[in-house]
Amino acid sequence: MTVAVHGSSVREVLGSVRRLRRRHSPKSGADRFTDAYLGAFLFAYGIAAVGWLFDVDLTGASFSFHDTVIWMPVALFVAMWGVIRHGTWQGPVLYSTPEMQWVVSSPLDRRQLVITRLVRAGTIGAIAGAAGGLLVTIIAATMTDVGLVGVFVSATVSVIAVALTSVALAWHTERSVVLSTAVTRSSPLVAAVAGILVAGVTTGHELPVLWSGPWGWASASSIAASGGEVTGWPIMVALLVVVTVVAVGSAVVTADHIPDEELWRRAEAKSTAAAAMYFGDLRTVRRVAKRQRARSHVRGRTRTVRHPRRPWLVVPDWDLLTLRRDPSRLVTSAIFTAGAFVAAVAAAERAILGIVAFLALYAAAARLVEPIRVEVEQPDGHLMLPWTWGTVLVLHTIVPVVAMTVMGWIGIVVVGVAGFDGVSGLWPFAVVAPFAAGAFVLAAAVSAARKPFPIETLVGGGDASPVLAVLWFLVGPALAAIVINIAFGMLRTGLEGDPAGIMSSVLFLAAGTAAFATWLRTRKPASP
Amino acid sequence: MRSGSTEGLQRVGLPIRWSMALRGSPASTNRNSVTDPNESQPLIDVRLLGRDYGDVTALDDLDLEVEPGSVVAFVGQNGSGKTTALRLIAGRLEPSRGSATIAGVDVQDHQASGYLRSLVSFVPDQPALYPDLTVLDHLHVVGFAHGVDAVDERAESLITRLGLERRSHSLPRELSRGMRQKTQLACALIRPFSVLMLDEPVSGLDPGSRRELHALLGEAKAEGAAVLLSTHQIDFVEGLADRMVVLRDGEVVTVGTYAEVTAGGVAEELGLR
Repeated sequence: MTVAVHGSSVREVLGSVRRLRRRHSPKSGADRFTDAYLGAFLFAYGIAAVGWLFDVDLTGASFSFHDTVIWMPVALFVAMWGVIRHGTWQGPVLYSTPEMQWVVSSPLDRRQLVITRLVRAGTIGAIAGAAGGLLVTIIAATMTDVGLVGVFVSATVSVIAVALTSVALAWHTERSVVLSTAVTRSSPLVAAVAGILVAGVTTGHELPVLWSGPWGWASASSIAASGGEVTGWPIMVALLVVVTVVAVGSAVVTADHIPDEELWRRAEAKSTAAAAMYFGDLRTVRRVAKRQRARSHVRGRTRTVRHPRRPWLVVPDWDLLTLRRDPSRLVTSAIFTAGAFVAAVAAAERAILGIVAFLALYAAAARLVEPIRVEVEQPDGHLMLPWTWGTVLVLHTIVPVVAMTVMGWIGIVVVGVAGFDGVSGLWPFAVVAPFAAGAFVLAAAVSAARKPFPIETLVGGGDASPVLAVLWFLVGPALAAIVINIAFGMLRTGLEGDPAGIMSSVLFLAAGTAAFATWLRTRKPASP
Repeated sequence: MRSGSTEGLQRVGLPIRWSMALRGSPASTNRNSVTDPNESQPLIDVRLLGRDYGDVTALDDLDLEVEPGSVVAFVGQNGSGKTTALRLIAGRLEPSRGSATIAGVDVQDHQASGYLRSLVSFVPDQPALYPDLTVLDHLHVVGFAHGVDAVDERAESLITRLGLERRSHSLPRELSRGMRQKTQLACALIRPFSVLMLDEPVSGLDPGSRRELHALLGEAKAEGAAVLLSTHQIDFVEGLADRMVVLRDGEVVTVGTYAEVTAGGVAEELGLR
């Protein structure tokens, strides 16, 4: 059959699809107005929250604009890395599966299709950059009387440049398997660089930090405006402009360097992740991202579990095996634990930091009990094993308890060596650490052993549904808080010289942990 | 598997016998029962077992005795109650009425669930594999957890027989549906058992793997295990099942040998052939 055809431009086709979709959109004009109103409302509250954060003065120290803006290179470095890493599984050029089926597969100019999406991502990046510049200006307005217009222009332009560079680099990551693999594998290196930048800022070595890359170059003018002595900041701005032009130019030149298969994989990942996000299922989003990255990042899997002395030891060995293959859970947990120690040390002056430290430790434990969530998702999996479902769950808490104990001991030694109390004064904490780790991990395990949050509660639960949602997520932290709070109350008397206080603290933590374990052991999997 | 199943039976304290008796439905009443004269107690004893989901009866009044060394196949169309029957007998579902015992132990007795687990190897209809373990990891974890000796050799043998050699270091997400099914079957067979329950074991398997599974189940039967399986592909159980329990809408339509069921026109009537 012969059909008469005429050529269409990418712009026409995409515009037409957009119009058609809008025509069938369930959103009315009133809905759109509500969205805009809510957006403006939240933005205003966000700005107020930033102001409040600086007013409450959490650490008890006083900050100047310069003390704050000096952290800009670190913030930009992290943001830049986040955008580039996003390119390992999604990236700036993203089409939905229907668009892949009906638009990208049609005989349209591939280059234009990619550039259209690059322009869109660049625009979003520029808007985010402008918002970042506005944030710096707001901070400046609350802390200093320097010329705000100058601060706004320098911050906005430079942050927009970083955003555009990041989008361009994310595109290169997206189109190249080699680069994507390199980005995925370089996380430890990036963490090390971030650590060096933080160390540079805290020890007053600002200039090397500023010269270290686009994140520093983009911060130079703002830091100079805050009164800092920044030698050669105009050169840094010039370097930033050159890098941005080169990055964006190379992205445009390589616009057709991506196979259909890759765009399809990303479209499918986007579709799955969007559905999971709708239900607030962040674990699935994380898993989709990991799977997408794994295409170029299959680790050696020849090592397997060892022959255990006792059959039940196979479960901890299995958890160690999976942690070795994917250490990200351990790394995140270590970061939370480190944050908790920093907050705990500062908590002597601000009680709110004590709560932050507690929540960070709970988050560290919650991150480690991932195998329990896998068991919940896979209720038939345990049928292969000789133990009840509840027993399998308890066995899965062994490695997290050991890991948290070790991290706790390391934290105690670091705090001691840093000279806060001396290591010898911290021994009661070292004694209590394994039992506290048990209470945190088992409380997190009790929470994780439930089915995922029933999102329908939020949709059809009536006025009380937000309260129910909050209560749902509070169960784990609340259980941990009850046990930890009482135990640390007892420990306080131990620190004041009464050894019985330490003993009773240990016994109370052990009893709480045992109670959680007993509850966990009686759980049954959901019926199929 | 040889030492495993025997070991399991010895733990139960039952002799290894290849006999079975089915009762409770008109088609089966003493007609074709092969009963060991020395038989005193069936390995699996199901009495008037039923399960309702609201107003829907998924399974009604199943009555069944299964001896060691025999194979019983539940056949029927989708939704006929095969999976419900297996899950009830395995203690995975709570019955609305009736009871099931394995080696004299009520499957709902949670105090004895550890003991029951040592006897029963269950393969669900949907492959239930751990996303972060490879094929070989699964076999090792299951083997070690059950205290199996020579896990490596047994794993290698099963991997070879089921055609998983090239995928032994793959994660479940990297496997096809059939490969995942084979992995699950290998996990069920690497451990000792007295009762093997398989829900739709042949779905997703290629003809070669079906033949191999047929042979493996025949070996399990020969070694004294009681095998219960569900399928709607009745040709698979030819030469394997001692009895077929034909289900429709949760009710037992007939019970008989492969020849009896296929000769009576029931299979055609139910759209199973």
